Amino acid sequence: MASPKKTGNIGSQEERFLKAFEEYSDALFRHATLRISDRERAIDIVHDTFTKVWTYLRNGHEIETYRPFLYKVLNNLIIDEYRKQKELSLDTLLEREGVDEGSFEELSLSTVEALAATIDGKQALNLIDSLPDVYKEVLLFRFVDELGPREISILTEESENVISVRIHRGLKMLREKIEAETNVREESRVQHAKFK
Amino acid sequence: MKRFSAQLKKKADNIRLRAAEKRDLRERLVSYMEYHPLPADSVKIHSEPVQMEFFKVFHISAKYIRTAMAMTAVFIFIITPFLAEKTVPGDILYPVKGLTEDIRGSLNLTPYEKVAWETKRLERRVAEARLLEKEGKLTPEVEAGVLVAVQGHKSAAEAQIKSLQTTDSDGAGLAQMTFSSVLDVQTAILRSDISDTTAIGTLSVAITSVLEAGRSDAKTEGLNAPVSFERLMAQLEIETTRAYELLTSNESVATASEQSDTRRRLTDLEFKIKDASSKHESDPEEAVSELRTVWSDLQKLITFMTDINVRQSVSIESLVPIVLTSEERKEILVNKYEALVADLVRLDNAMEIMIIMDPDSVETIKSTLPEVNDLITLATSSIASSSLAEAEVTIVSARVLIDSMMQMAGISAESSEDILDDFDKGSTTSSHTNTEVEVDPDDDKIISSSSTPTITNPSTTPVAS
Repeated sequence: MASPKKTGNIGSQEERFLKAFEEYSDALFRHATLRISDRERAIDIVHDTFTKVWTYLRNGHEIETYRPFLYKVLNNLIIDEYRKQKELSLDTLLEREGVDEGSFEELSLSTVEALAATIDGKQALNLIDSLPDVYKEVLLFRFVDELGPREISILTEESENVISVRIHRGLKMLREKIEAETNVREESRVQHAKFK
Repeated sequence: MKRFSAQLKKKADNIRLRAAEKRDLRERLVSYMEYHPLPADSVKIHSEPVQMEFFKVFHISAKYIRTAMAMTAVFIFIITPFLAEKTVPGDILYPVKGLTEDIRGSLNLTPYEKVAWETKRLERRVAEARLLEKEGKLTPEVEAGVLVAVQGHKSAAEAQIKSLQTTDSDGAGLAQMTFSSVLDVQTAILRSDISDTTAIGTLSVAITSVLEAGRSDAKTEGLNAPVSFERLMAQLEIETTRAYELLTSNESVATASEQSDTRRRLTDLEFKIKDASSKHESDPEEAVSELRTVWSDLQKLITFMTDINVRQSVSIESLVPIVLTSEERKEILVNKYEALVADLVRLDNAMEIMIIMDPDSVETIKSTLPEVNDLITLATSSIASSSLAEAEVTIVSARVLIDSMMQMAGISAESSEDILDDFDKGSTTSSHTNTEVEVDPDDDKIISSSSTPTITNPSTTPVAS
């Protein structure tokens, strides 16, 4: 419900906005880079994020806490970027991957923890880009940007259960990829050792 | 997960804007800000927040709105009506009082409750009218308004009683009697005001006329309204319980004398109820009639206990007179009898020592004395036989005669004492009264007395010339 209120201090608004840029631009860039795997494009997206927020302020809105708002805008821009880049629509992608609520096992935090404990985080970052975006998005939000499932659900406008399921499946997929890569490396090593 | 997360984060932290990139990005952003500045008089719009409790994007002020609404509601529905309760016609908040009363009236579901409420409203109007008159705040408009209101509440109560008659005739009868009692009390208050002060205005007189007209109708209809014995007994049981509870709750505010007076009247009423109950089989109509009287008196008593205006204006005795027991009546009669005898002795002594100078007075006294003696003899026997009514009449008659004789003799209380003293000192012949009194040793109260007056035959006593 809108309740107009006279603003008193434009200068402080600009200061806050620029302060938010200093504080969050790196985190936003990181997230965008990991999502779209394009550094230059990520910079542009971060720029667009901040200009959109500035426009929002110009329209008379007030932002009490910048961080969640910036992530929300960023996420929307990344989705727009996907739509431009990918052949398949996001909806179709979601349909393929399934958006059911998942099993109890997948919803359980302890299951996610146990699963994450088996994965090498350093290797995971290299492989995370190969995951479908629906999983990449939630894993980055969760483990890089350190948002909780509830916050992620609000950002992505999905239910918490869907987010929890995606985290679980994303980790599982990541582990499978890491294991597959490890196996490939091992085979390659063995082969190399054979021919020596 | 902590390890995985820490590892992932640590590796991810390497992905960051280079200094130059960040600088360029900032410059682009500042340029954009300069080209698209914030309006100088921008009006902030508080939009609906992104629903993130953890981050709190927008400050929600709904709680302040809720608080303000709650306070407004408290002010409108509690404070204002409370303040309006004390108002009188002409005050700003007085219409609120009327509205509150209407709302309270609508909450009454049964016609009996409606009658009770209209009666209460009538009492309030009378109290307001009295206050306005005493404070001199009456204007012609206010006066007319109050009179219309009193008439209106009276008519509304009567209408509700008529309506009640179709569904609950017993209830209608009770309501009628209660209404009649209220009118009695209010009329008594107004009469008290009228008699107490010469400055009383026309409003009290006008209201008294309205109430008395209603009272007369109510009394007639109340007498005619049929109420069963059982219903009366049940309601009396409830009301007496209520009265005793009020008595107990008033202990801290009422004086011991007031408590005693009230308790005495309640006891009287209970005796009457028992008496009526015992008569029910043999004389049901008489029993119901007695219970009706008890009901009316009980309502007046309850009004007296609950309404400070009533207590300040009229005495409890005028509303609900004490009903003396036989023993009390007898005791009073004995006291009066003794006083009569004592005065007769003084008169006799006065005659003996010849202080009465006027021969005509002497003659009149002599001719009246036999009659007085006869009356006293009759009173003695009536008291002894507990014919109290007869004794009362006899004693009253004797009292009148003795008073007139003493007046003729010019005997006052003081001079008669002197006469007795002189008589004791110097007289050798005397006629005296033997009064044998039996006294309770525990509290020195007179239990009984028997007097045998001996009056000197006036014909043998020399009369001073």
